[in-house]
This record gives sequence, structure tokens and C-alpha cells, in this order.
Amino acid sequence: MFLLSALILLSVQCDKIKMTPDPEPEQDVETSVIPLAENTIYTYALSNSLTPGCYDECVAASTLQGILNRQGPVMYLYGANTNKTSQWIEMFSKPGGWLEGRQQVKLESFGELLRLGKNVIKGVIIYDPDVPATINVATTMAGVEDGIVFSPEQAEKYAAEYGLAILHDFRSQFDGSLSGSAKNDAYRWAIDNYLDKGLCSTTQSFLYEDSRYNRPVGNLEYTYCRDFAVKERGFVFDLSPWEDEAPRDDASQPLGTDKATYIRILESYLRQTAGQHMTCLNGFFSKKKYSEIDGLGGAHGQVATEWESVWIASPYNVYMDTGPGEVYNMSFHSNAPFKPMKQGRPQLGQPQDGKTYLLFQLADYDGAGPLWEYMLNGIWNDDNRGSIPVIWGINPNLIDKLPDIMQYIWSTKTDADWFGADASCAGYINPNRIQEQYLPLFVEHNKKYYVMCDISISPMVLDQSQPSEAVKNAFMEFSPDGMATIVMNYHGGGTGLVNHVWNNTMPVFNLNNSVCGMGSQPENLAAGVSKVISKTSDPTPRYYMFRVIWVGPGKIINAVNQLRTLRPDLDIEVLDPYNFFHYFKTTYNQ
Amino acid sequence: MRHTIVNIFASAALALPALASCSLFQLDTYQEPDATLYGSIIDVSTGEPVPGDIVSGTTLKLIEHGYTDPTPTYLVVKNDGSYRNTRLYEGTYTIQPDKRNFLPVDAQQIYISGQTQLDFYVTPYIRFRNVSITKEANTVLATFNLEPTTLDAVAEIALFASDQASVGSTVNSVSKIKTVNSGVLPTRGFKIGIDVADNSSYFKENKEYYFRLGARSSYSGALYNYAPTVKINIGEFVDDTSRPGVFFDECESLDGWKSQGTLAVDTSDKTQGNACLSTTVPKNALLFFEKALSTPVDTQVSLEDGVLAFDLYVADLNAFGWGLGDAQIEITSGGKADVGELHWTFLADDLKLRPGWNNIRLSMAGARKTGGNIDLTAVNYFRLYHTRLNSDATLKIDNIRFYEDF
Repeated sequence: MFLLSALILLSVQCDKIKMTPDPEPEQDVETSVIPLAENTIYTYALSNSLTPGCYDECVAASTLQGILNRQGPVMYLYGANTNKTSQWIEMFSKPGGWLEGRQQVKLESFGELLRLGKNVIKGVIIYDPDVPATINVATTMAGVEDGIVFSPEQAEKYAAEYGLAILHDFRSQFDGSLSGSAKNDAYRWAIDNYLDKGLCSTTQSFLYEDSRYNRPVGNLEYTYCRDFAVKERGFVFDLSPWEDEAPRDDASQPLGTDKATYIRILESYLRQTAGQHMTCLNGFFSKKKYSEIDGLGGAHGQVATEWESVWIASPYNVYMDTGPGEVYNMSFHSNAPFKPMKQGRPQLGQPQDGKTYLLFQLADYDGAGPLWEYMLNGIWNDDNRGSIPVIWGINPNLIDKLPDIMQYIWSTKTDADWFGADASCAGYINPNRIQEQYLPLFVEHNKKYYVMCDISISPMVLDQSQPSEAVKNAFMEFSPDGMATIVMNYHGGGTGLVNHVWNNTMPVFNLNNSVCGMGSQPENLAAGVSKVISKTSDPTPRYYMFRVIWVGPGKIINAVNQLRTLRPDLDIEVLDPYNFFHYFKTTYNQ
Repeated sequence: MRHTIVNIFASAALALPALASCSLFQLDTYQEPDATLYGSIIDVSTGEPVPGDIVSGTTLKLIEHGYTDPTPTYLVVKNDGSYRNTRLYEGTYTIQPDKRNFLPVDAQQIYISGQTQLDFYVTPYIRFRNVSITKEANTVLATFNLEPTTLDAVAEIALFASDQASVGSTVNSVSKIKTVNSGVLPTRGFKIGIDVADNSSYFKENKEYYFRLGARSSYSGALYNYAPTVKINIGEFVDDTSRPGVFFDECESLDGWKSQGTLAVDTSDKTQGNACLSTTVPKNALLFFEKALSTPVDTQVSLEDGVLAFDLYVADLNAFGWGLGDAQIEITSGGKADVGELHWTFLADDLKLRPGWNNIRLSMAGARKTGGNIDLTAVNYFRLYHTRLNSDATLKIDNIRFYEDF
């Protein structure tokens, strides 16, 4: 029976037996252009094998995508490690969505991607992995020259085969002989040849981490987001804001070289914009390079480095969008039609003695990343949304990059969801650092975005001292219903804020940030809030505003219930932001 | 790719009906798999092989071309970083290292026929520098530096021992693993050791054993990187009391000691010197031993490797309630409790207490902190208390000291 069984097994599996090995057939590679069809979205699924090759594929695809999407919503990338890319396109393809009726055509290979790209690109720009800054210089150049960014390996494999011209090859171009830093030589070359010549956008600029630490491990951070930089022809760089410590990726550079180049870039923006408009700096400093890492040292912490970045940029009318590094397809989303949005206003009431009024700001949606990540099938889908009034802190500037997502959020708000600008205002900036002659520009810039988003409250203005009179006057013009601040004094000389009402009109308030990370554990959040609220027998209404990041309203409800148990001495009421500031103003004026 | 031919046995008439869909005669044209693929995983920087684990270590994923739904074949890389498979079919394959202790590399195509060599030049997650593994007293001690090649934290370091030359994280009889969980600069020195006398159930005197030093990156999915294996004759075990250490108190007198019980010097029962201290604490009290030093002790240990050790005699375990938070052992550099304090929970299970004398060894790395950082160069306070006594309870203590355990 054993023999029979063996042969039966053979008969079942014999179709899988390969009798003779086949030599790999030689095939002609199809390299002709795939014509662009109307009303069609071309999709390409990125691989993610955590390899340098995967990193290169993503950079090439996204830079090409940026050029294609200048013509409209032409190309869409599916990420390998996220379901958000598929969720968002499905959402907007539904009946009534802005992509309804558009055909999707899947590109099956990288070769097909290049064949589609041949419609729009003029050639290839090869970056030098040995000088990682050249990937940013190449991205800048790709936007201006309509190129696609390739690694040397990709260029060798694809350029000749697909008939792609070499627009520029950065290999061995920069050796540090000019500034003492190959990295800075590269950026200074790009400043001289592109930024200072007025070839780059002065509206959108990009602080994107280069390939130094990400490419070797196939980390795709700051790869797939390059599409928007290319679409906008933005200048892309990655430099340290510190002059007292050499960056980790270029430890031998003369001290302060990075910072000097950084300032040259900011000066160029201010010189070119001449006070006509402000500049968005998309991205974030590299934590791997410029701030403290446990065990590896570093003179400056992450928060300090974030604040320093904003501190140095603000006088040049440059504000930050800190989160686009994690977002796919911004060049695609940015093509969505946009109409000014409305959030409405609640009916206003009157404060009562003996009450403790609380306002919770759900943050931190000042960058495109958290908005894209959490606002679909995430925090925004919290079953308890609508059961407790909250103010969501969202950067109004995101209508430039994610207008469809912003409109989705506004259109699905409940009567308990309210929106305020976060961080600072229409863009993360230190308002006290804006030069006085540019405050009218600052007001004009913010008015535009606040009106389009129907926002009149600024719940988290970040600065290193309490807002000056001039800044408060500026905010009164676009944020008359209230502003709240967090003051962190890294540079010295500033003073804290006392809650007050400015010019009998605009409440100016301290935003309490001490519980910001406690939201995921409501018992901790309740204890943290309780710690802030002192005991008193004074019946005058009291007001507290707390910032909590990346949790939904359900956690807030849970925490407030626990707080009521924890503090039976308090008569707690959670308010919407408009009543909160209105009540405070009423109490203050009395 | 599965080639089922390998399990064909001699023909038999009984089997013929089963071959209706697959002619037996075709099998005559079948070629045995006779191609060989071999090579090494080589450090691109040093040119040296990258050693790994032969069990659950690095594998190479092979996909043979020409099939619509191919099943990958996995080749095992040996401890020394080499691999060889002599039973492959000639043909084109896509090959890529799968589980790894080095940075990812892209898949590549290769045509395998006859003897085909393919070396992978890679960057290991962590390189070892300045490695020394020697035996000192009862400890096989390794000192070394690490050079991580990414910014990821080093998750842990380890010393593995076995009588097998293939010793590693998956083949070992005794191991010492220390959590690091931080970034590491090449200048940072590490020590890790195995006390062979403590593991005498495995180690036999004067025998040779293999020791191998490992470190694992926190990079997702990273396997251990290794220093070269060494073979060491562990010689004779030496008397444990020769272990170097610094006394907090030798427990020879009542000088400075406090207790809520009847404190006494016991010369009849001791583990070190001429005496130990004993106390019997009434059920409604809690303090067994407390001492503040007027002259602090420089423990000469680090928080990472330091150990507080003492001998503790427990007359009756049932006299104690053993709930969390009921009892603590504390040392401080603040002259009193809760100031620059390290403490450990006094739990029978944690300390593996038995009636009679117990050798207590408390790792400082595992201690909890209260009231700021302790200054280990100036420790001046010790306390042992228990808040939930079931009855009057007797404890004896002796030989309170500090040493480093690597």
C-alpha cells in the first residue's frame, strides 16, 4: 500500500513537475509611450521590501507623479504599507465625489510607469547616494526641469533602454571644497542656480530629509511626498537650524555651515516675495540628524529643535506645515475643486456662578500627515463624536494640499465639532517674530484662509513670549472670537501670559498643554486635569482649556466622567469654543 | 519550487492504474537537480563573513523562474556566514536574503548551473570592535565596543555558552542577556559575563565550552549580530566569597542599626565574618532593618551592572503576607528613605525565598527610582520593611555588599 500511495501522490502532483529547466526567454521590452487618456487615473502600487531599490522606486515614481499631476488628477500611488491610499480614493470615487466617473488604469510595472512618464518628462536626473543632499537638489531640479529622479542603479537599468535623456548627473559633483561640507556645497549650488534665479516656487518650499539614513534601510519617509514638491517646483532642502552643534550626518563640517545655508534660503524667499505673500515650509527637521537621540547624544531636544526651526523662519514670513512627509498623493489631492467651507456658530449663553468650564482642543492636525492618517476610518470615526463639544485644531493652509480631505471633514462635522486654526494660525509661525512692516501681510494671509474655512478662533498660538500688542491687534482682525497661546521661552526675555480680554473684544487665553499626551488613558487625563484645577470656595466661574493630541471625543467623555468622580467639589461643564470664550469674556468684563 | 520526483520508489504493477494522468515514461527524461549554489554573506566594509545563527538565522529566498505560482525555496546560512545547496535545478532564479542580521538588499536574478558562486556584500546592523572574552574568577567576561550602522537603538547584548560550536541565540545552554534599548556610540564600552559557578548544573570544571557574543539591533526584524566564537576552558570554580565587592555593612555589630523588633547580634549563625544581625518584629510593626551611615559608601558599581547583595534568613515564610506594595528593600544616597532612592519589592516569589538562609542579589538596572537619581558613589542608607505581617516574624541579615555583575 505504501508504494501505491506514493504513486498516487505523484499522479496528483505531476502537473507541477518541471521536466527540463527552461532558459529565461529573451523578450523585447516595450518602451513606447502610453498615451494619456482623458478622464483617466493611472495607478501604480509601490513595493516595500525595505531595500534601497524600493526607496529609489518610490522617489522616481513620486517625482514623475508630480509632473503628471500638473495636468490634473492623472496619477495616483498606492502605498505598500498603508490602506489609506485605497481608502481615500474609494471615498472620493463614490457617487457625488470629485472622482466619480473617472476610469482607473493600473500600471503593471515600473516600465509602464516610465512609458506613461515619457508624455511629460524631459529626462533623468541622477543623484549621488554618496552625497545624500543631492537627492533633494535633484528633486528641486526635477520640478524646474521636468525630470525624474533616478539613483545610479536605476539610470543604468532604465535610462538607455527607455530612451530617457540624462538631464544631469550629480555623481562626484560635490566634495566640500567650497564650504567644507559636500552637503552644503550641493545646496548652495542649487540656491545659486535655481532658487536665487527665481526658478523655484516662493509659495511652497520643502524641508525633506535626504537619503542619508533612510535609503540604506529602505525607509520610505520623505520619498512618496516628493510629488507635491515637484508639482509646485519647490526648493527642497534638509539642514540643521543649530549653529552651536554640528549635525549628526555631517559632523566634520565647520560649525554653523548648515545654519548659514539655511539662512541663505530664507533670505532668498524674503527677498523674492518682497512682502507680497508668505511662504509655506513643508516638512520637519530630521530628528535623526539634528536633535538628541537617547544614547547618541545631541545638545538639543526634539521640541527645542522644532521651536528653533519656527523661530528662525518666522522673520522671513515663512511658516511651517510640519506633516506632509507621511502623505501620499498630495499632488493628486491638490487638484480637487474647492469651495469655501462653513462650520456655523452655536447659540451663545451666559456663565453661571460656581461653575468650572472646560474646553478641550483635539490636536495636532497642523500638518497634512495626521489629517490624512486619522480623519478617515480613524479618530474622526469615533462613535462618540458629537456627544461632547470639542474644538479640533486644524491648519487652514491644508486646503492648498488636501482640499478634498478638508471639505470631507467640514461636511461631516456634527453640531459638537468645531474648528480652530492650529498651530498658531494659517501656518505654524511665531507671530511675535514677524517684522512689524509685514504684519499687514500676515493679517491678509490669515484672513484669506480663515474666511475660506469659516474659522475665527486660534486655539494654539505658539510663541516664545506672550503676544505683543501689535500681534494681538493683528489677530483681532481674523480671529476675533479668541486666541489661546502656549508660551515656551527658549531664547529668554519673554514673560508668561495672564488670561485677559484684548480691547474688550478678543479673549486671550493660556492653553494648558500639560495633559497633551494623556488622552489615550482617560484615568491619567482626568488626574492631570484635576491637578491643574485648584480647590476654591470662590463662586466666580473658572475657565480651563486643555490640549489633547490624537484621540477622539470618546476618550474625553471618559476622562470627564472620571474627573467628576475624582473632584466632586467641582461643578463641571464642557463648553464649545465659542461659548467658552464668550463666557470667559463675560466673566472677565464683570 | 517543489520537485516531487525525489520520492519516487521502484515501480509496481499495483501502482499503474494511478498513473493514468501522468505518463511514467516521461520520467525517464527527468534530470536530477545537480546544480550547486554557494557563497557567503560578507561585510562590505571589512571583507569578513557576517556570522549568524544556523537555527532560525539568515535565510536566502529562492524563486525559480518559469512557474506561474512558484513556491519559494529557502537556503539556510550557516553560523560562519556561508551557505551551499547542491540540489538545485539549473535555471534562472530570483534570490534575496530573507531573515537577516544586515541591512536589506535588493532581490537579484541569477542563472544557476554547475557550480555557481554568489556572495552577498552587506552591511551588518551592528559590528563588534575591541572584543575580549576572558575568564576572571568564576566569570567569563566579555568587554567590547559596538558600532551600529543605523541610528536604531541597540535592543540587547548577550553572551551565549554551549558545548556546541554552533552556539548562538538559538543554540545555547546558558545565556546572559542585557537590555540596552538606546542608541550606542562606538566609544561606549560594554561588559557582559556569565558566572560559571552559578551555572554549575551545566558547566563542569576544567571542560572547554564555546562562548559567543551577540548584539541585536532594534531595527524591525533584525537578527543577532555576532563576534567570533571563542573556546574557553573554564578551569576550576573558585570560592564565591572571593567575588570582589564593597560592603555596605558586614553586620558584625548593632552600630547605627534600627528595627521595630528585638535587634541582636547573632554569632552562632552567620554567612560571613563573625556574626549576623537578627530581629523579631511584632505583627503590628513593619521595620526590620534600617541603617543610615555617617560616612557614605562608594559602591564602585554602575547603575547598569551594579548588584546589591546580602544574605537573608527567613524563619517562617508564612509570617509574611506577600502582596505587591507590601514590602520593600531600599538603598539611598539621601541619608533617608525616598531621596535618591533605588528600591525593590520584597516578594517571596521574586526573590525565590525559602525558609533559612537566602542569597539575595538585586540588580540595580531593575530597581525602581524614587526622589531623583541615586549617587552610587555615596550610598548611605539601607532599609528593609514589611507592612503585612501575619504574625511576629524573624529575619536575619548578613554580608550586605555591592558588586558588578556583568
